[in-house]
Amino acid sequence: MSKENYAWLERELPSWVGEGIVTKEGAKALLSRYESETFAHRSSGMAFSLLGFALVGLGIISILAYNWDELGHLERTLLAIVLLVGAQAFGFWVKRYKANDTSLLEGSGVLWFLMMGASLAIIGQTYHLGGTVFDFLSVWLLLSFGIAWLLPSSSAAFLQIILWTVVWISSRGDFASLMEMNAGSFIGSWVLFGIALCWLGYYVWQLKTAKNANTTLLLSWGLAISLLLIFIVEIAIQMHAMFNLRSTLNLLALFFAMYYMVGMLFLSHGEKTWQRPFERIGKFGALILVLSHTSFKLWNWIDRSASYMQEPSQTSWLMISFIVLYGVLLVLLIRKIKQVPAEILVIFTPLIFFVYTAIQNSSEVSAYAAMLFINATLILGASVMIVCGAKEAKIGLINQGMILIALTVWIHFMDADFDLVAKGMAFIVTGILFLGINALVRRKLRAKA
Amino acid sequence: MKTIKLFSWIFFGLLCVAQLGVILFQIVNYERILKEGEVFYFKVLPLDPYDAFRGRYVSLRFENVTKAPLAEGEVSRDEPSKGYAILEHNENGDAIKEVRFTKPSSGNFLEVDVNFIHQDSSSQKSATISLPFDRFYMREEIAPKAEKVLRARSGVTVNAKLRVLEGKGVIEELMVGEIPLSQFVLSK
Repeated sequence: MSKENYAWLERELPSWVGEGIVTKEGAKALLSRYESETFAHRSSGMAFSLLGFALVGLGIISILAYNWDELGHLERTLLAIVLLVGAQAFGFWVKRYKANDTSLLEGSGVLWFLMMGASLAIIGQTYHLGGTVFDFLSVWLLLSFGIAWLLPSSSAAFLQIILWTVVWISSRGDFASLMEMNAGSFIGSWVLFGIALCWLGYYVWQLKTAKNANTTLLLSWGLAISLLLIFIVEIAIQMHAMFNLRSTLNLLALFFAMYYMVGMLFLSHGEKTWQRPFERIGKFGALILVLSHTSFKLWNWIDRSASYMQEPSQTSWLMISFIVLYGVLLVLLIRKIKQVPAEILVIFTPLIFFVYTAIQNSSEVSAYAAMLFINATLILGASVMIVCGAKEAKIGLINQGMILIALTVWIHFMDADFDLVAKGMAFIVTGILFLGINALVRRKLRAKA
Repeated sequence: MKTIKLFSWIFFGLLCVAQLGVILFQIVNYERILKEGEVFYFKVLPLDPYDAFRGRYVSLRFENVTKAPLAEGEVSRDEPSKGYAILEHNENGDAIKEVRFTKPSSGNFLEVDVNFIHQDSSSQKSATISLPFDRFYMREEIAPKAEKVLRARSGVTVNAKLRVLEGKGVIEELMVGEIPLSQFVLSK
């Protein structure tokens, strides 16, 4: 609830109690219910506090990276100890005396996390320790593990999941050799897996106790980015081992649709775009995937490289587990919303791609059938968005549907060999149509209201 | 609730001790090597890359110490493994006498990675090894200059001054003759 709404509720409640609409206890319960949410909305103060601590920490690391050779071993080692002990002492002071100040708790976690890295960097620099940057990051990950739990600090947990992701990716030897990187981590996969499980424990705890807090939202973004990166790396490794574009397309479609549904079902922290990390990444990815296959030029490229492709290998363990998970999420979503969802195009992206790749593999069907199918489903999905948007009076949804149709038209127009003036005219006409329809819909919605 | 709070404080203390312990252990360990370790000089070719956290350094490529004879009685291993390079001072400078897989009880030796073993026509086995040093951190503006100066002056020899104690080693300085590399670069 916004601050203004909370103030309004606070003003109204005494009269409601007087009129007997709610009891005194009920009024108190309502106020305390929304007080925590209002507290979570005090985001700007928290953001500035976090930014401040993060900048101070990164600044210290950067200054030390200059490598002051005027400083002897004694000064450098003392600096390493002072920075670490200072951050620990600050964390202790905040936990002991300012445990209710969320900004300070979060900030001290960030500072402690960064100072651990700074201390390790000074030691590495002073004694010219060998090893890759990933070895350094692995030690940092191990030693800073626990900071998030102990304060608690979700911002430190956010940094930790990002660090964990980098170390995990560097530990994937196949990916390192693919990218020709000198990577690798001395931490075993099972230890990394254990750290991830502990992190998930912390995340679940935060979801249960403070789901609407901005710090928990930060964790959701961290997890969403981490899983996306890991998935892309695994796909790249699979693609390198056995180039199979159609199988990869099916996996990507399943992944983005699942992300969207997980966001819709469990991991949304509010109504705004930035409060729905899984849903937004899933939706964006699925729509880009579908749109990128509407182009006939792209199809020609795929057709020419068909000799590099085999039948989609739907039998891999990853594919089977994805299909099962997708099925479970779909059932849960249908049971929850109990109607045709407006963004059906995103939810059914995997089904669209299964049919699309099946048509491509079939030698009996016309070469253009797969392209026509994906174009038709896109137009249909966008139309559902527009209709649902009009029914539910959601201008955003109508615009989304219209953007998808406009993009499809533009892609085909770019495919065609028209000159620049014709293409320019097409852009202007579509833009004017867009603005006109928007104005019309807005007027209708206002009249209805 | 009280027990959880108590455990939280205990773990808080343990984490602080563990973090500080790792830092202090490294400091004490490396300072001991620098103080008590035997000095060896090995020829190196410095190059100049960058580490975002620890700053500018010169990457070291050691010359003449990447291959050494395998000690008598040692059995070849197919997989890369840890080994011990026995160091010696001789009339041609400092060198690796031989490589062993068993840790020596005394003398000057250094823990190294044995990459592979090969046998020549006279059945003499030798090991290709990597020393545990690959970089030397320098001030931001000096490292690239150092590489430039060294590339331009082909006659200049740079030696890594190492301190070695009980299998562990630390690079103390990069030397051009008797002068540290950073001073040599600044004087040019």
